[in-house]
Amino acid sequence: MFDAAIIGAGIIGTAIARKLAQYDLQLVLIEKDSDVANGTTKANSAIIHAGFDPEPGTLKAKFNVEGNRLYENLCRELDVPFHQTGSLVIAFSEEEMDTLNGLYERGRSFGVPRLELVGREKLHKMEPGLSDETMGALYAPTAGITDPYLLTIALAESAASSGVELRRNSPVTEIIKLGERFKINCGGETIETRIVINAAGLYADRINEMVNPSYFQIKPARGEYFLLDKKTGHYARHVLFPCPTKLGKGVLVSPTAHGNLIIGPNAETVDSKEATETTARGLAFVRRNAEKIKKNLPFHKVITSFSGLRAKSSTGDFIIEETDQTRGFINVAGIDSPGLVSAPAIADYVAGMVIDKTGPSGKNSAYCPAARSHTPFTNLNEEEKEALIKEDPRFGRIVCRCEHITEGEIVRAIEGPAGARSVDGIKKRTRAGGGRCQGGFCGPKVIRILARELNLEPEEIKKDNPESYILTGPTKGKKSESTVPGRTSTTCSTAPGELKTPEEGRDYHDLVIIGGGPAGMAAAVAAREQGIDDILVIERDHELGGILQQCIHNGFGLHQFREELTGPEYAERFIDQLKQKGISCKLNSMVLSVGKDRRITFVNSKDGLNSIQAGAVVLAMGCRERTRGAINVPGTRPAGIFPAGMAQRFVNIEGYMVGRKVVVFGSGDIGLIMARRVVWEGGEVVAVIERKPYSEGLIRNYVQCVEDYGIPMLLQHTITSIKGKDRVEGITIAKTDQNKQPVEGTEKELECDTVLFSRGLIPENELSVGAGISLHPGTGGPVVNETMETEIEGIFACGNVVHVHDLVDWVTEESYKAGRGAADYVKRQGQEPAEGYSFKTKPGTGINYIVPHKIRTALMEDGVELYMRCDGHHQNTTLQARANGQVVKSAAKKVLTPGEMIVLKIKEDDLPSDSFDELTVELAKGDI
Amino acid sequence: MTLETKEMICILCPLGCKMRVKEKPDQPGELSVRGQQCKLGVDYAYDEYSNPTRTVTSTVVIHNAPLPRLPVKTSKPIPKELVFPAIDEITRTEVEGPIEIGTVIIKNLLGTDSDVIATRSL
Ligand SMILES: Cc1cc2nc3c(=O)[nH]c(=O)nc-3n(C[C@H](O)[C@H](O)[C@H](O)COP(=O)(O)OP(=O)(O)OC[C@H]3O[C@@H](n4cnc5c(N)ncnc54)[C@H](O)[C@@H]3O)c2cc1C
Ligand code: SF4
Repeated sequence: MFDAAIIGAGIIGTAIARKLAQYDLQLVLIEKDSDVANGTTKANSAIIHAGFDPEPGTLKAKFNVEGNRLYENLCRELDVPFHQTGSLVIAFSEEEMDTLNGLYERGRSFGVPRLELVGREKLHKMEPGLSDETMGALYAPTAGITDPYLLTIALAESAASSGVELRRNSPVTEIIKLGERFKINCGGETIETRIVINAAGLYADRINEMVNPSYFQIKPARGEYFLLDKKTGHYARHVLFPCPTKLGKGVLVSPTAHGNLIIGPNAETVDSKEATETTARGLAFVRRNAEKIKKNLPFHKVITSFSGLRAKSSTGDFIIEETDQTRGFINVAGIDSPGLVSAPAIADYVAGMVIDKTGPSGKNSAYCPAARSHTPFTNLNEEEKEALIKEDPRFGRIVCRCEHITEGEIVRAIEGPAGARSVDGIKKRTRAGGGRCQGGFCGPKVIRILARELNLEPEEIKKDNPESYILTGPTKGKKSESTVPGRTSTTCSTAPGELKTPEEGRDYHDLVIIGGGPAGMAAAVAAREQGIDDILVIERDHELGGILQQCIHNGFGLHQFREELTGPEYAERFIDQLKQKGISCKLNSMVLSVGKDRRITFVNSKDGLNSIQAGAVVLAMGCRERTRGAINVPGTRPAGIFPAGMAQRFVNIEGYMVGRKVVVFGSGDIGLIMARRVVWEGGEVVAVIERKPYSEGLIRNYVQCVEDYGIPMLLQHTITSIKGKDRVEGITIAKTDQNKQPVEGTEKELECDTVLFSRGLIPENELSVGAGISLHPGTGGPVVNETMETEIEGIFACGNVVHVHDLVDWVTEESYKAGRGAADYVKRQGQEPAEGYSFKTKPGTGINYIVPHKIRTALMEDGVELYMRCDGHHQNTTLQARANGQVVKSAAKKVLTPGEMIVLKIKEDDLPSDSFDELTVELAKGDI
Repeated sequence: MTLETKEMICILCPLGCKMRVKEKPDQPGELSVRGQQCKLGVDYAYDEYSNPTRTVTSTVVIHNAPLPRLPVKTSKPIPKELVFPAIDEITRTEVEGPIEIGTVIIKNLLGTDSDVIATRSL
């Protein structure tokens, strides 16, 4: 028999549970979903409001101001981020200035500290980049931001570690009052309790009606948001609100506790308590309104969009009371905004009500105010990092490369009575998968770790709730055994024969290459051939080869080897060369930063945190896939949505199928090739959907991967919505117009359980940016010269990190150049290269970009290949290079497409004898 | 005998000409090819009309190795109609590690004179 049962493990339920856990009481916390913080707490603005906003006399007013006061301490105790950024409510008219005055007075009467009305000039100083029409603002320095699910998890962990029984996957279906006690049916079991606390969020009305007549309703009001990349938080210094209206607080722009930028929400009453899909209309509204507040918001940096449902009560206020009809039953209902900030104050108040009923109770001697640290590994200082890796080498293994989350943190998040059981559970606790690739890289690893720690098969690991399966089973119907997930050794290659490892304790190398894909390996080989002996290749994965290892199809190497190889074969030829040439490698080692001075820090589980000096550096980190969020497809966010490359990794390397009825969105080569892989592994491909009027991939891939199997290719179509709560259940498609936008009225439904996104790749340049290298807007990669040297002396770059290649052969060519350039740099030892003049390359008509961007004639060797992409389909055209107005080189082309790299070799002899500034390459119709 | 007309797309360059191919009634073995924009299309049409072939690349189950699947390919293209039978054959096959790249995993696949070989060492 429990003293109290708390229904609902959102911020309110967990805060109450933790508060009550201080007393000597038998407590149970019941949650219908697979995890805590899965309802409204999962998706909200995460703002700790100052408290001037609610109507006077309401519970909202009372608890907001009190809650705000308690936050700093609470977050400190639980080791959860809380930043008091302050908020600004911004006025755009005289009328709105009056509203601000009213809010100011109201806030003062509530006791909100240090409120201030600021005029236009001061406002623009406090918050640069505001739109010009702003007139003034109400500044509330006590407002702040937190991480709501981490906070809720920390509260749940503290409660559970103090003895509160946490029951997940336990929907309450019936409550019966029997004299002085209640019988609760939840998740197929019955429990008894003296007191019931209803903190069931959106479902609080239904829970209330299990024992009481209906006296309030909870109406879901949806709010949609954009979340932007981690590097964008500085776009707002404060939480920025427009002036509130009857409809609510309006669309805000705010940094998040992790340095992202959050923009939203709109407010729309919806019928269903599960309607957490995003809509094109809602997101467009959010964007329009946000742009009224702030100019130049970086919407191209969106990493995901999501929506949350506010639990609005029909009374308009919080409902926090013991019901008259049923004593012992306490409603904590209608907790919409400002519920997050009010939580600690509500918890104190409700705990008081409970103690009044149970009578004075002793202290719980097992009370555990905080179960563990929540500081991410990456935020620790160097000594702390070192110490942690020494104690547990799993902290030296980075699993999520975008957020730098280690295996140690993931394991820690699984442990304990409130530990993660699902991929989303890991994401909420550690942020692994919450970064810019949205789990594209770390997903397979996280699944393996969960399976290992929970003693399950990978296909038993869910995204979230029990129906949200991710994998449909092993390929070939046979269990997939792998010995790699441990990945402890920093030296082991999975191919037989040894790779050389560097001598211990060396902290200088002539050349350090970051990334052991085809680009990194080719650069290493070329530098060695130029006589550089002291080379170190650092690779994050457990083997060399990069993305090639998962590209098991053929079509690689026609230019380099004059034969058609598969990806792994191509990779192995280079791995063999590295072995033969005795080039040192560190595997399972993640580079964390590169300095202008070519100092490199990296981490692995064997050597811990390392800092080494490089004579020259080659950046060869490859690229990542564009995610669904970045592409911004509205709808729900169930399991079954994969970037095509991630699916490729699951099927080809991990040996797992990702779905049975698959739609491929985007006709790039990865998507086409995956369509055939799915068919060959026994799945069905419903359609390939392409927004453009033509297929983007190679004709050969279209014919041999799609047409051969009768798969419909829907050109000029797009996905307008994804459906399904736990797993994808279907999509809505529509025709597109010339601007690739959906045409209203052409919508059609398609049934499927999986969507693969094949919508392009983005060079992975976080390290480059960290080194101060500027990126070229056309390529997304570093600006480079003819030796592939970046703007920072001695730092070179090659492969997909510079621009996305279609053929690995071009990567190899370009990387040989980088390797030779770096070797030459090392040998010159600071001496300036030979004289000569230099010029820039400039894309002309029909050309999107040219690599390299700058050429020094003295270093052209026997010529420089210009790598280019064109802007559309061109037939019977002439590619021509012009300098000083005169054509210096031209080539007739039967056909050019944006999917294929255009290569034009320029030799010194081709160039005019007098110097010039720019070499323009353009497409001209017909022959010249 | 009715002579079949086949529609096909030439894959030899990005133009992807749509071609209509059929056997000339009076000259058995000779084809009439329409729609190509260069003569490469004709050669392609001859191959694809009478003897379309494909390379199959897939994986087999591997035990006792660091990874659970070994990538493989057919050493030569095989007749298109044998692709699914070949996939079945590959699906049934299991090997023990370690395996060297190029090792023959299935000899003379379905009598095609093509072997299934390992495309990496594992
Ligand atoms: C499905 C698909 C089909 C393709 N088909 C073909 C084809 O038919 N023919 C063809 O020629 N090309 C093809 N390509 C293109 C070709 O595979 C790529 O262009 C090439 O592999 C890019 O090489 P890279 O070395 O630049 O990148 P990657 O192979 O991605 O290598 C980068 C390496 O850097 C490592 N790394 C990154 N950051 C760090 C860090 N901080 N610390 C340590 N290590 C790090 C990564 O782990 C990785 O190993 C295809 C690509 C795909 C995805
Ligand atoms: S027929 Fe000639 S032009 Fe047409 S796709 Fe084939 S190779 Fe290209």
